[in-house]
Formats: sequence, structure tokens, C-alpha cells
Amino acid sequence: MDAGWSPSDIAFREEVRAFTRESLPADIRDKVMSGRPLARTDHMRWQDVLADRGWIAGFWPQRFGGCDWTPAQSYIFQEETTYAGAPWLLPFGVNYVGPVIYTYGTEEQKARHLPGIVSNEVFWCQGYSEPNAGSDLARLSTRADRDGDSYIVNGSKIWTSMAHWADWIFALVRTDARSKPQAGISFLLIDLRSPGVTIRPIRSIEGAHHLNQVFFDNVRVPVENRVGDENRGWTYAKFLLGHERVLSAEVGKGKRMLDRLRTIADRSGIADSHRYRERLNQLETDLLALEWTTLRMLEAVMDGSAPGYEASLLKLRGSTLVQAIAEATADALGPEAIPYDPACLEEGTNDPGDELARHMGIVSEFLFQRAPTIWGGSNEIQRNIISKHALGLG
Amino acid sequence: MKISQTEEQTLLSQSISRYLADRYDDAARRRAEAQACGYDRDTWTEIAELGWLGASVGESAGGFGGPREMAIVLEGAGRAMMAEPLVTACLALSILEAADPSHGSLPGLLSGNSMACGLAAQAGSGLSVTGRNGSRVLSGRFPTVHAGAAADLLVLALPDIAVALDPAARGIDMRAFRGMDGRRYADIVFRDVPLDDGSVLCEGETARPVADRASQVFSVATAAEASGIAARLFEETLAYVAQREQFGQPIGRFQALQHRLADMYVAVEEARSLALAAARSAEDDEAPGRAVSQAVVGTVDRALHVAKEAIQLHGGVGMTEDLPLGAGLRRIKVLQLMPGGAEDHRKRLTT
Repeated sequence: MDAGWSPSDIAFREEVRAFTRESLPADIRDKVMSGRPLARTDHMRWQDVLADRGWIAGFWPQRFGGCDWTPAQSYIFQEETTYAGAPWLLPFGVNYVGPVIYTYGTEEQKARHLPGIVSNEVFWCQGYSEPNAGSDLARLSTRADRDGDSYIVNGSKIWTSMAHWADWIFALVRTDARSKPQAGISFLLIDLRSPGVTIRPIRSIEGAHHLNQVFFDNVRVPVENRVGDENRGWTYAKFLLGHERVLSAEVGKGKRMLDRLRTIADRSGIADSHRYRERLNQLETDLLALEWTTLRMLEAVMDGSAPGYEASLLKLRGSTLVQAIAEATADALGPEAIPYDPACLEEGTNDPGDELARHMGIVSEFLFQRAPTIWGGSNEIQRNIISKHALGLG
Repeated sequence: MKISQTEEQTLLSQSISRYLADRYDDAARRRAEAQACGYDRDTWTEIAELGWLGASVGESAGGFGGPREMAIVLEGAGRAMMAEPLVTACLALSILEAADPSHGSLPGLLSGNSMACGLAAQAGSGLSVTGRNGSRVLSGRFPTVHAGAAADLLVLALPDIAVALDPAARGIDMRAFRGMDGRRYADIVFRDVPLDDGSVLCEGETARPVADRASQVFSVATAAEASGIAARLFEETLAYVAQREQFGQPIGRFQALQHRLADMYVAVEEARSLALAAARSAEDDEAPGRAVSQAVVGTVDRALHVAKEAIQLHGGVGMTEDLPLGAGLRRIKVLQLMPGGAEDHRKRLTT
């Protein structure tokens, strides 16, 4: 099966593959392959490597520090690096706030914020969800009241991945409480060192800490840190959500995880069992369907005929597939999946040589992979989008 | 026809619910998990005094119940996701009851002063009893024994022999570890462990029914606990969708979610039915058969479905340790993958 890649795409794939093979630190690759959690420094080391190569924001326009990659090149880059065991390229700066800034920001904002993303020096996080505004994001209530040249921000954001590692947060805030929910929202860039910001860790079901709640107590934010017009933040938020979804890396990740499942099954002696083979076949089929749906959507994006809801379809299937592979992998371990101690997975204390700790990363992934069907617009919301926009049912 | 609970069983069930509501919330579970032995010894004596252990065996062994009563206890423990080692302890009591109801350890075990782990052959591997120098020795391995390292007594039901051993005996090695459900487990290895007259409970022809009994009791307990966890996770979710508002109304008003809740409800009811069927099979003293294996597989599959839906329908908060949903998912995964658990039963059914 050949998707009809151009010679330059094929050459680019070779280039990415060779680069990743040579440049991805072995210890980081081992962590990713075994499912162990990455430390901030692991992410930063790999992203420094990419920044040095000029590939951290490859799909950005060249004038902002990118490479003008086509969507095909972005896809190839993601598939190859992910399959090879590279860490998830943290999207908060590169994929989310960066494009919002270069599309809607002022010249001053571009000059101030884009270089720090391209050089991997500034760590961003995303302030969207709130305790009472999850799926119904437009009802968010964190407010920003104008006071001279500043906004005074009060409220809190939740499920903020890696806020405890971040320097800046981009946040949706309410600047007009009287108009319709979507019409009173603005998009602010907030320095997390500002007085009045506190970060509460949230422990998730695999026992690790990557989620947080971020509180704003009379935090003063200069008006110049608002991107775009006041009360038009919803437009920018939707633009960003499109980026969040279309750049899913599930195909490469799915292939990598299936390789590992096959290895574990071969070793544990279940590879010949009927139940395992049926399950593996199902997962492989689902991955093939996801890959070729992704390729079709990619082609549509490039020739301008994408319907606009393609990302919802890919998110729906990609998240459930990765979730299913993660569970099948834990199941393939059988009773060996039972030993698990989050403390053993904390940085510095995990000894992969310890027989009991060997598979803890796989257990951690099985548990944590319940999240992708919830985040980024839950799968229920994606189904709403499909039924409304693709099927005209609402 | 008579399937429903007797008056006494209903009273037992109510007293369990009351205790758990008063004394065992999620914080209590977390405190128990944090103990070195993985459970709370004061809780253990309290529930023993309330008769939770006596419920699993009949009067001849000093108790007042049987498999059905034990299932009631374990359904309650499942609801509360109790960390205390009830399955393994009830298994030990049942083996002792079947093999030697006047065994000297029973009063101490029933009062909660000591704790025994029951080991059913189906959960072991490489088990053998061989003669050596005129005496016999036991070898083999029981992986993943809940609270194994905290046991005062190990009670084994093998096809040809049932024995009760002091865990400190020569030749017994344990390696303790934490499981994904937060409980403490031990891999127990028996290496040429001498079996003297004092340790043998019964052997030969009389041992087979004891081993069958152990297998049945283990299955009943697993199914009952899984059905209790499923019921709890469903109730948590039902309460959540009624109070969580998005888009100007409780999310439970959305038909797409109502259908998911309806399916969860059906799964919980069926899990309950299967757990009951398993308990009745054991009450009737049937040999372990396909129906009991199906009951274990069926309850655990349904509970797993309910656990995943519970997390999904709670959204972000379902992924946190602030709620007991993750704890439920992790425990059910253990019931599925543990030696002698649902996957082993599934294998038996398909081969």
C-alpha cells in the first residue's frame, strides 16, 4: 500500500528517521518505550535537540522561525519521531499559543513570545477548562477586570497539564459578563511568576502528578498581553482547538505500541492464543483504518477541500485506539501487570533492572490512557461536532 | 422458587452497609493502604467482631453462614473498596471448615486476633508434594497472594492434600510488593517445605472435595467483590450526572448519556445476577463447573465496562485520586489478571 508520497516527502521521511536515530538520547527513548513518565528535563533535552536542528516548529512560517512544512511533512515528522520513541512534542507553545500569536497577535507580541518558543526557552501551559466549565467551555467564569493599563484576573483553571513546569499560561478569561457567553471572552498571556498565582497539584489515577489547578487571586496582567480584540477570544480559542486536534500523533504512537504488544505477547507465551490473536488483529485493523483516514484527511487539508470536522473524526478514533492498545498490553502481561508503585516511577527511584518494577510503565500507561478520550474536547463533544457539522443533525 | 435473601441475610447486609457508611470512607481506605501490611488491623478486629468472618463458614466451624453470606460481605467490601484481605481470609476459613472444622486456629481467626491466607490450587503453579526420607515435602509457587506477608497462617487446598502452615516455617520464602490496586501482595515460594502430621488437614480422597470447595469459594468471592465495585461506581456516576451542570442543565438530561447510564445499570444488575448464581452453585456444593467460571468472567467484564464508563462520564475529575473511580478500575483489573482470576477462568472456558 502506497499513499503516493512525492519524492521530496520520501526524502524528508528518510531525513527525519536518520536524524531521530542519531539524535534521540537513548535514555529518553527507553523511558518512552517502557511507558515510564518523563521529567521536565527529558522533554527539554529532546526539544533542545529539535530546536538546534530548527525543527521544533517546522510547520510555522519561516519568518517566525519555522520551516514552512506542508501538512504532509508535519505528519511525516510526527509519525517518524513518535514511532522511534521520541517524547510527545509538548504542544502548548508550538502548536497552540504560537500560531494564535503569529495569526492574531501584535508585532510586539510576536517579537516577544515567538523566539522563546522556537528556541525552547519558554515553557507554556494552557488555561482553558475550569471547575464549572469543561465541555461547556464558553461558560468559563475566570474574570479579567480592566484597571487602567492592566486587567485584574480572578478565578481558576483546572486540568492544566504541566503548569508546575511552566513559565507562562495562555488563558481564556471573561471580560464582559453581560453579553452572550461566547461574546465576552478574551485571550490573555499570563506570566506564572505574577503575584497572586498559585498552583495546586492534582494526582491522577496512575498516581503521578502532571495535572494542576491554577488559581488567580487579583493577578495583574498588562493589557498589552491580550491577544487580538477584547471579547473576541472565543474566535482565537476555536482556531487553537482546530490546531490541537488536527495534529494528533496517534498513528506513529499506535504503531510503536503495537510493536511492544507483540514483543510482550511473544515473551509471555500468549502469542498463539486465540483470544490474543483476535484482539491483535482487531487493533491492527483499527490502526490501518485510522492511518488511511488520516492520510485522506491530510490530502484534503492540502488541496483545500477539508470539511472542517476531520479533526473530530481522527481524535475520536485515535484516542480510543491508543487506549485499547494500552489495555491490551497490560492484559498481555497477565499477573505480571499487578506489581505497581507510583513511587517507583518517580524520577530517580525507578530501577528498570528490578524485575517487579519492569512493567510498571505499561501499567501507568494503561491507567493514564483513560484520559485522552476525556481531554481536548471529550469524545462526547467530538460526536456532537460530527453529528451537527458533518451530518447536519443539530 | 426462592432466590431472594432470607431475613437474616438482609439484616447482615444492612449491618454491613451501616458499618461501612459510618466507618469506612475513601480516606479510611487510603489510610489502610498506607499501613505497612496494607490494611488496618483495628478495622480487621472490628469487622471480625461484627461477624464478617463468621459469615463465611457454618456453625460446625464456629460461624453462622456459608457462601451466600460470604458473598454479601464481599459485595459490601467491594462497594467500599476495602483494602482488608477478606477474600483470602474467607478462603482460608472455608478450607479449614471443609477439611477440619475443629482446627485449633479457627477461634482466633474468627475473632480477628489472627489472619490466615487461603491458597487454592488454581492460583498456584508447579505445585508438588513428594516423599523424601520417609516424610513429605511441598514445593511450588503462589504468586500475588493478597496480604501474604501479614498472614499468621497459610492454608492450602491442593487436589490430594490440604495443609495449614506457619509462614515462618523452613523453606517458605516471600517477596512482598505493592499492587496496582494499592494493596500489599506477596509471591510465596515453597521449597521442600516439610509436611508433618500437625500441618496436614486432610489428604487422599477427602482432599479433592476440599480443593473443589476452595476453588468455588474463591470464585464466589471474586464475583461478589466485582459486583459490589460495579454497583458503587454506577451509583457514583448516577449521582454525578444528576448534579453536574453543563450547557445550562444537569448532564444527566442528555439522552446520549442517559443511554450510557442505562447500559451501566443493566451491567450492574447482570453482574449481581451472575455473582448470585455463583454463590448458589457453591451453596449447593456443586463441583466447579463452567457456569461458575462464566459467572466470574461475566461479573468482572461487566464491572470493567462500568468502571471505564464511570471515569469517562465524570470527565476530568474521573481521572483524579479525589474520587474512588480509579481505585475501582485498578481493583477490577487485578481481579481480572490475578492468578485464578477472570482471565484464568476465560482460558478454562475456551480451551
